[in-house]
Amino acid sequence: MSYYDELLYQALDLVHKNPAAPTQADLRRGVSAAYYALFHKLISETTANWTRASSRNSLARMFQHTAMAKASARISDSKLFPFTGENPLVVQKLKAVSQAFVQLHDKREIADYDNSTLWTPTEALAEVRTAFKAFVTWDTIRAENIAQEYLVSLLIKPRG
Amino acid sequence: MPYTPTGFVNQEQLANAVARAAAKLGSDVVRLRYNVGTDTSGEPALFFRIVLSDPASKEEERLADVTGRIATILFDEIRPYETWGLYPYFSFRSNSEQATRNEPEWAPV
Repeated sequence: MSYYDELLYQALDLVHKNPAAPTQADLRRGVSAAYYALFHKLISETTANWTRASSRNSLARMFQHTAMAKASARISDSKLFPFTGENPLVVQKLKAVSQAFVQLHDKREIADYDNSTLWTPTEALAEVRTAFKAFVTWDTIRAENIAQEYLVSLLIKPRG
Repeated sequence: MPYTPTGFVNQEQLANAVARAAAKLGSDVVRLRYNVGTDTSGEPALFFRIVLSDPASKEEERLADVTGRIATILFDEIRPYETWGLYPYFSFRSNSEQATRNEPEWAPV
């Protein structure tokens, strides 16, 4: 099992760990693990395109959380990305994955650092399930050109 | 939760758009609240707090479908990112959870 799959199942285990009396530590770490699962999956998908396998881990260290979130948010702007002529279903799926990343990025920040937010099991589970759904959706579009272009945009800032 | 000045957003237009979208959410949604603020990156954002019926949030598979459907409707109907530059974020809790917590931000107006 890949590291990102392990993280995803760890997230689910954490939010289900103590259903009678869930702790904030488990719920918050669950949300955080769900984000990191998607973070590492998308990076792994990107670096897999790098022919020299021995350099992939170094390349993976170049990705930045906020830059990835901003690139993902831009995908939802149809003025910037009209996706003219593309399969609407593929576009919809790509937007679902990118939106999941933006959502999980923000929730991870809150889960990791904001002690004023008390999570409920439903709130935490919804985030973990968002990550699961993004995994499944990504796997159906990963070979599409617009999906691959999205991966490039996570690492490389456009000019201008 | 941080609150920021919302002078750049027409509150009435936003409220109308949210109300129109909320009407399409169905019986899984007990209550929808929202506010404009900034996300953890400091970017303008629209935060939705959605109280789900207990049946909608009880079964895990159904929860995933329900939350995905609701987020898609709100995203597509309101188009907050394209219209106002507000990126939408969604939080969900069950009706019974809210009854226990009774947090004002999630309570009826």
